[in-house]
Amino acid sequence: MDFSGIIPAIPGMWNGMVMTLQLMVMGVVGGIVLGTILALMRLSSSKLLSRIAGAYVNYFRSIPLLLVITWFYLAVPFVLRWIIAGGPEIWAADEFLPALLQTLMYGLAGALATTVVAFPMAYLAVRHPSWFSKALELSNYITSSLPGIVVGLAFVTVSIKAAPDLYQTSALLVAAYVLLFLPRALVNIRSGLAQAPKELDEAAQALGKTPLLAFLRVTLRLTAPAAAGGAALVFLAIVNELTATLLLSPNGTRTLATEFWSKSSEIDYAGAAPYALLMILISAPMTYLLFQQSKKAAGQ
Amino acid sequence: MNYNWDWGVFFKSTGVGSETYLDWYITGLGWTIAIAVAAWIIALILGSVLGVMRTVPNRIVSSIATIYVEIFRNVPLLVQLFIWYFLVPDLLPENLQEWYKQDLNPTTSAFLSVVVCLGLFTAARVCEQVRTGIQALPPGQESAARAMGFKLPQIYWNVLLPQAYRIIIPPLTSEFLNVFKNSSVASLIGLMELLAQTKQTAEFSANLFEAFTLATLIYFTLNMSLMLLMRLVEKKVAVPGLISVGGK
Repeated sequence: MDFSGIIPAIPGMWNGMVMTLQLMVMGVVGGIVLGTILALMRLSSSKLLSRIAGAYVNYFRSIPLLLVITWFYLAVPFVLRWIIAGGPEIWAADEFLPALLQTLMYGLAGALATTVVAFPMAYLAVRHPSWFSKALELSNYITSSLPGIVVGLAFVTVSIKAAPDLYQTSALLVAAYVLLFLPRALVNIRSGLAQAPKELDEAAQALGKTPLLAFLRVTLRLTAPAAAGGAALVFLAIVNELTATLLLSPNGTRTLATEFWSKSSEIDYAGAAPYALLMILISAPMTYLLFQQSKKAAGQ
Repeated sequence: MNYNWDWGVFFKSTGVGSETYLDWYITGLGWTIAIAVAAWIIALILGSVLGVMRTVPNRIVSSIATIYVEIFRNVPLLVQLFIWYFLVPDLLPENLQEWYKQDLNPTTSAFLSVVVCLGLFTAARVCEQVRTGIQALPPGQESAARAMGFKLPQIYWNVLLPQAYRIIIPPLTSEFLNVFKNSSVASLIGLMELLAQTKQTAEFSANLFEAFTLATLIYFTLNMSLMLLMRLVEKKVAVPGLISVGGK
């Protein structure tokens, strides 16, 4: 045994010990913060949050620390390099803000118009069923069974021949969205109306309200959550819609989906990244709300 | 992302003999399972003995177990592995040293070092779990056994340990999973277990992400299957009223 070789190595070992302590402190602090957040998520009444935290725990608990370190060593720089590959200019707000605003505008307009059109059809189907209401309802499913490109081209043909002034206007684009996504709103509003008893409407009328006021105060309020769910679905569909938007939108229109398509077809994947991220960010809260809504509807 | 994914890489030839990369993974998984099972047998037997030692009414015996636990629990596994692999063979008697360094092939000597190291390291942790399991039992159990004329070894063997093991199945499961994960340190002394084979695949094929994704999936599936299996065992052996079962 000869420990004399250790003495020259002491400064290096001291530095190593300092590094170990630093890593330990950072690991403990980070671990406590993240661990507390995960624990709260696991205890949360939201099943989604609880499952995300559970999946995180199961994942990291199941793989060796050396593999976790390797993943972080490999994947984090790779992802960072990919994110910054396009340079800071691709993340400049004036690049993607117009596309974001136009997407939101078309999404909201399309969702509103679709709900407005779907409501009377659903009302007829539920409250006044007849061959006409049934035919009207069923005809909408034809468009939903057709590819978007077919509906888009049909709109192009009809508008150029019958109403050339309407071609490539926002109104025509919204009309295409209505036709494409009407079944999504219709299904929701129909089930909402079916759950709102007709007798409540009649009771309101018996108490002296006019039919319109009784409808607005009773049936419409009871159907509102279902209609909102339908509108959310339509909004989500419009945010991601590409074919009809490319064919029918006015010149200069830039939505997130068209910009993503345009950038990725130029093989500028780094430039397309912000648009993809924004589409996810817009869709995520809406998806979460729909998930919560469906849980409530299922009585969970 | 300028990365060319190629999930078919695992079926391609490695260029070493007629092996595919998948064969490497299978060999690696075999070593991982062999290390973990062998180390777990050592850990469970030694940990149980130490756990009992920590609870017996004899200060010397319990102190020996405490010292063992403190030493093995407070030194990083990696340091212990290097001691067992690089240092301990040099301290062996001459004939054993010769056998270890010259007669055994390098893979076997690395395997022995890892199994002993991991087994002794995990034994310290198993010991603490066995101790808490025994101490969690009502003291009346031991007293009742004494009153019935049981001797100390009989009390442990027939009364305390069978119940303690049932209580500590969840933490023991966790420890068993840790053995599987910790077996990956063997890659640092050249034993070609799963992680080492993964690194080798990544270097040979240049398909880093596919290689590490498959390793992650294998570890994840293995550990989740073991966890589910142990949950079933826990439910099967639960003593009604003594412990909660399956996380309920």
